[in-house]
Amino acid sequence: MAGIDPPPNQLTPDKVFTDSSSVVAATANMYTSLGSADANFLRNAGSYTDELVTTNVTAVATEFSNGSLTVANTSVLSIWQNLYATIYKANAIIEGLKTSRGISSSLKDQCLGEAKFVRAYCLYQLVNIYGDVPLVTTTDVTVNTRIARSPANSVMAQVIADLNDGTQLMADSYPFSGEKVEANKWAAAALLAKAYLYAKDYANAELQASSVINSGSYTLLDDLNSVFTANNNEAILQLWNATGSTSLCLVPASGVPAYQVSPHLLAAFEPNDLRETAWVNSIVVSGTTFYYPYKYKQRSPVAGPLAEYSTYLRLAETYLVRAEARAQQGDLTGAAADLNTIRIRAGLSDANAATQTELLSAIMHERQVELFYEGGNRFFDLKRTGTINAVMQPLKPFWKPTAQLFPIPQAEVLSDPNLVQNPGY
Amino acid sequence: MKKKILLGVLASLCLIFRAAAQSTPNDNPGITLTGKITDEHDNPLPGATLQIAGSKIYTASNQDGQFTIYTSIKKGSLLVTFIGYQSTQVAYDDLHDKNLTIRLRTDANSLNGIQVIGYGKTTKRLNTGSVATVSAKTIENQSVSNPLAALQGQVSGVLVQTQNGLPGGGIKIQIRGQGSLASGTDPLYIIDGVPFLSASPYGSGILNGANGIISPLSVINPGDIESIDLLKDADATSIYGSRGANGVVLITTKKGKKGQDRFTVDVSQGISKISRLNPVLNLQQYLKERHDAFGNDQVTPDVYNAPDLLSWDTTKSTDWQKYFYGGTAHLTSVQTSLSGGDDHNQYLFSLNYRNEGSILPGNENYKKSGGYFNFNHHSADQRFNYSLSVNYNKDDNHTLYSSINNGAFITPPDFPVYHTDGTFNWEISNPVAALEQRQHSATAYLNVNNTISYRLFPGFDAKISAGYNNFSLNQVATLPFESQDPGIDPVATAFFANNTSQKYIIEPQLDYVKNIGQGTLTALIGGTYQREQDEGWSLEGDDVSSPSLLGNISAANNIVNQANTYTLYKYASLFSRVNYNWKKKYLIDLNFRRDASSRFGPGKQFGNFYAIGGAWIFSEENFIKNSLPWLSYGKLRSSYGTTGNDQISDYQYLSSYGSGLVYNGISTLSPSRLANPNYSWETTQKLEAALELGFLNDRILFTSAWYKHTSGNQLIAYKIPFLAGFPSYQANFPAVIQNTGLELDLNIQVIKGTGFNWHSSLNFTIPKNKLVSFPGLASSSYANTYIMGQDLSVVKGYKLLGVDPQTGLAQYADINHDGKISSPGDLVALGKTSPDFFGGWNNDFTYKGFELALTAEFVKRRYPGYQPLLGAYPYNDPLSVLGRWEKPGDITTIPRASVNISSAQYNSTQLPDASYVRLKNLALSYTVKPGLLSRMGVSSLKIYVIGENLFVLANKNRFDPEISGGSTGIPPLKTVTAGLKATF
Repeated sequence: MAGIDPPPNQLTPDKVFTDSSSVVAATANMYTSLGSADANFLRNAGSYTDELVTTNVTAVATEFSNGSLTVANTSVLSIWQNLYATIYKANAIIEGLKTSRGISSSLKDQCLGEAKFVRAYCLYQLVNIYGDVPLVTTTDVTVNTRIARSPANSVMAQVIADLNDGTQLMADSYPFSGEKVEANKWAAAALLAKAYLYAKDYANAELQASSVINSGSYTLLDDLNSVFTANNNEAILQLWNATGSTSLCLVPASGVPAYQVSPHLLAAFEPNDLRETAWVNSIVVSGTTFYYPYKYKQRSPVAGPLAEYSTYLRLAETYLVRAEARAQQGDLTGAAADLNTIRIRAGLSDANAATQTELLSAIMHERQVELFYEGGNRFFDLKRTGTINAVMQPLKPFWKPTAQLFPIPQAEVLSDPNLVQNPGY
Repeated sequence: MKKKILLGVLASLCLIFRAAAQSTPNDNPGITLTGKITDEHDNPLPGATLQIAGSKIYTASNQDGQFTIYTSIKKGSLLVTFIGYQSTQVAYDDLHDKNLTIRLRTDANSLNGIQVIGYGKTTKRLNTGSVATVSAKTIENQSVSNPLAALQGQVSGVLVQTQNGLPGGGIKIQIRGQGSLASGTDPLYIIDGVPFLSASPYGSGILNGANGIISPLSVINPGDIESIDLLKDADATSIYGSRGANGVVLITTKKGKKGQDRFTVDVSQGISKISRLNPVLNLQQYLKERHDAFGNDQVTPDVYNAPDLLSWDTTKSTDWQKYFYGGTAHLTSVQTSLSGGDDHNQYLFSLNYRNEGSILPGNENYKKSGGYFNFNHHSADQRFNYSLSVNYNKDDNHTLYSSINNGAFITPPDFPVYHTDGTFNWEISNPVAALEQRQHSATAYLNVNNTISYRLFPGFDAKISAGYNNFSLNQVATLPFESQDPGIDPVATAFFANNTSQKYIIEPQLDYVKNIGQGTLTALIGGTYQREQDEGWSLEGDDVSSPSLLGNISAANNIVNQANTYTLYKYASLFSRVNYNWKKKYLIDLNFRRDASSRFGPGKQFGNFYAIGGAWIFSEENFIKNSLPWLSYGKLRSSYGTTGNDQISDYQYLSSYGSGLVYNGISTLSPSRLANPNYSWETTQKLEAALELGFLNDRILFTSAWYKHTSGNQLIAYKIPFLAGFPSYQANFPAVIQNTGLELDLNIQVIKGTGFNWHSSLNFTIPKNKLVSFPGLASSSYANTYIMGQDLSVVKGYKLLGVDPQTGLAQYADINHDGKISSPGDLVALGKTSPDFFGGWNNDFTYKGFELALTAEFVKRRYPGYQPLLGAYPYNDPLSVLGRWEKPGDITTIPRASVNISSAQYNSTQLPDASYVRLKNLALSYTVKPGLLSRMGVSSLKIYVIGENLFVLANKNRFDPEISGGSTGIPPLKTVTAGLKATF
């Protein structure tokens, strides 16, 4: 009497993983939660470091701009929650595809590769934001509810292993729609190069970066204004966003911009840097000029195809990754060549850096102005080079050395008895 | 329906009395008295018992209320008793009074008042279970829109709390405490036999506007309700088996009555205002706190962190609460009803309309209207009965998209709403702009119930009841571009949500009554089949070209976040009850129910529930009658049994994928949940013992009931860390919760006379809640929420040691001695939020045509208040921060103002008193004597004034204590209405 069928608007997993279009739909779904994690993170990471200042005085935003996060900060939680929700989806696909039948092996490989790529991306973000984090590689709830934090290097080892799998499994071309909104082999390689660089495996970092640069699939754009447009030649991975704009756009409709380019970052641009004109814009309100990020220019959403996508990986960064990997290995000429490729595109002359130290420092400076408000790069770079406290202490009155790691969200510590809070919180 | 079941019960009584009634006239040339028994409206009353006082001669009235009685006593008095009516003694004299008409008055509050129980009726006197009845009269004395509001302060053991006083806002009812960790704690609501939505409707994209969580019951018209019966113990609730654990609320609508056609019209008008404001700092106090905050931390204010001190005009002040909540709402209510009928057919037709304005600025408005129809048919031989009730109501709620409590309480007094160019100022969240974000909810509710019964042979009735219920909620919210902060890329957005819930229920039932020995056996057996289908969709339309088209779905350039929901819930059960009543002295009641619910996975769907109840009316014993003559009524009763709870979401056992957000034109598939096929029923064992006493011919009635409810096998959305992919999954947990309590009810007819009457009743409840066991609590995700042996509502926080008189910094106890103050290691239990005791005091005074009724409600509890930020941001603070540390040497318990976020730890130490006494209701009426108006065709006219929530006595330093700090709710409004009720 009380038996019911599954609801007509839901599919059981055995149906999902035996049907090609359902597998494609489940794979695409991973990117929706990945996108929500990042829009939130980028804005706050900008004001947490020296890139952005904000007029937003809500408690959540002020904790970021003061550099004094609390364990109850809802953005800290939602970043964590979205990244792990995405990992769950990736793990479900990895597990579901293991036993699936009735779909082609090429589709299976592509989707498995994407799931591994997405899991790696999330873990990479998590380990850089929170330090040691739980390494979740299963959907098994009994394992996950008691999981403890894994050392950062074992998380990075998983990231590297997943991305290596990803480069093997995925095709050179972009899957399904052909748009750059889902990972392909080169997206995995570009992220792998970055992961090796963070892990200080410079030889492999260079190898992977070179494979992307030499793939012939990507070129640096001459026009800086097009670098964030949809499916441009420089882009390696971009995310599509449902709300009609990229949601990374910080252009105000009118009045004072809520998020502004910090005086610190403005000062970092060398004279005549074309990026300062292309990627920073200003508005005058009551006689005062306010500068705001202008990488994403499409403010109001429009009907039809989007002009801009949220850019996650692009060739310019891969050049800078290789430059740093080469410099670290003593190949100063090769490093300078890669660095100058980026500088010349920005209308600047070759870098004035002769020694390894000078070169590394020039590369870091180039990353600051090329990659601002992208991927949390500035925050991560300051940390991995050990310069974060020196930079942040003069800027934020409440900055403490322990602030380089976000707190583990309070709700999470309360729900998992084996999860230990970061120091300082 | 009332009548029908009465007949069933009374048929048996007639049988008992038959022998005596036919006491023959042979031995004595006596007299024959004839007459008719009627109710107050001259409707004949069949089955009333008549007795010649001082003799053993009695009889019962027939189907037409007629009686004939022989007696040798030529002059004496006739005693008439009937369940649900006041007993009456009438003097007769054989010369004049051979044809009597005796009117019985309904007996609402006494022992003989009708109580509706699961699948039947009884009286308070004969009930073996714990049931409280709130009558139409009590509801009528209140001008509330949601019938649940009329229960506040009326019933012991039932805590009724307003979550939001705005029209359509939530009202939470908890019967005998929280028995479930996480599954619903709402009682089961049944309207004329059809289960009703208990809490907010489940569905897709439900929008909760300024009125908060929607209370589906607010669509019901209180004027159509005949009685609300609240079922509490195992004996009363286990016939509802798996859904009875949290108690049952039976709502019975009015029925047509025999008699002349009567037309009633009731018109009233009134006004409402907020009952209490939240005390906050004025401009000078606010500016001082902010300056102190910067000074204490030696941080220089700049235009970013201190626009309130540097950019704004610090001489201009706005009282934001007055601005947002200072308004007066007007309300109008019109109710009409037409009823009448003969012995065979009766009908009732009523219409209602209510229009409430809002205390909020703007055009908020709440309209409710509907109709109700009831038809009853009885065949000439009274064997066949048919009853039909149809109720349709709808409401339209125009309100704000979200609560503006935050804007009203924390916006700095010097905040300039507009820039000099007339555009909204967005330096902080602009509360005035939020007034342009609006929401419209339209609810429609249709309930149809049919009951057919046939008496197969005397004492044996077959009945089938079939009901259909449709609840729909249609919502639109509009967020114009101008209402949003332009600094963060806003889009003109509209949200649409459309949800419906359809139920049907079929319940066949057999009733059997037989006299066995000196007692009466009643038995019933029945079945239920219920099917509920909930469907809904929601979507967001972005980038709407023109503000006037915002509510038009086709004007949106971008449709995003489409979602739909579909759930099917099936429920089947078999229930039975056997009751034996021996000499109205000893009563035993047995209940059994077997349920199957689709909310559980295959193999876990069935559950058995049972109860046993017994009562001993010891005042019927001769030795008590002889030794304690002042004791007019005494009953001891006890019950034990099991009930269950299946208030969980559907399909939780099923691993599945549902539609996710659209990605690059592909509609994606997203995992729906972490499935668990192994969970099953949550059960509550209920034990109760009660003593009921009546003194001075029941002028004083006293009930004291003790209960112990033990709830185990907890069904919980088991909270897990987000890192597992979902916040929770459905599981059973072997935790055991115990609710014990003492309920005291005292009813006194203080003054009883022909002129002045005073009736007073007091109810008082002392509830206790305890987590008895929770295996593995320390290593579970609830380790920091609950404490073994303590109340489930325990609040944990840091322990405040004091404030350093030199620095002004708060000092906290380092409980785990690790050298730092951190959560959860240093958290201690601060107290609990469930009440220590609560109750109500009702008084009813009548003098000739005048009546004055008042209800006071009281609750003793602690509850979080609005928390200060201590100057950390440009936000206003509660007045309580005035006692803070200001300079070295200050001895205080409130730390210094600071721009660093120090308030969170301090606030976690606070759990202030939230006890209150509220004058819930005050109703004054005057009923004009019929004589004056009968020429105009008016048979009765009542003029009344009703005041709701006129006064509350509570801690002055906090907002209304019924509203928790940080809540988006508004306390119950202060309302005064005046009206006129005329019957033609």
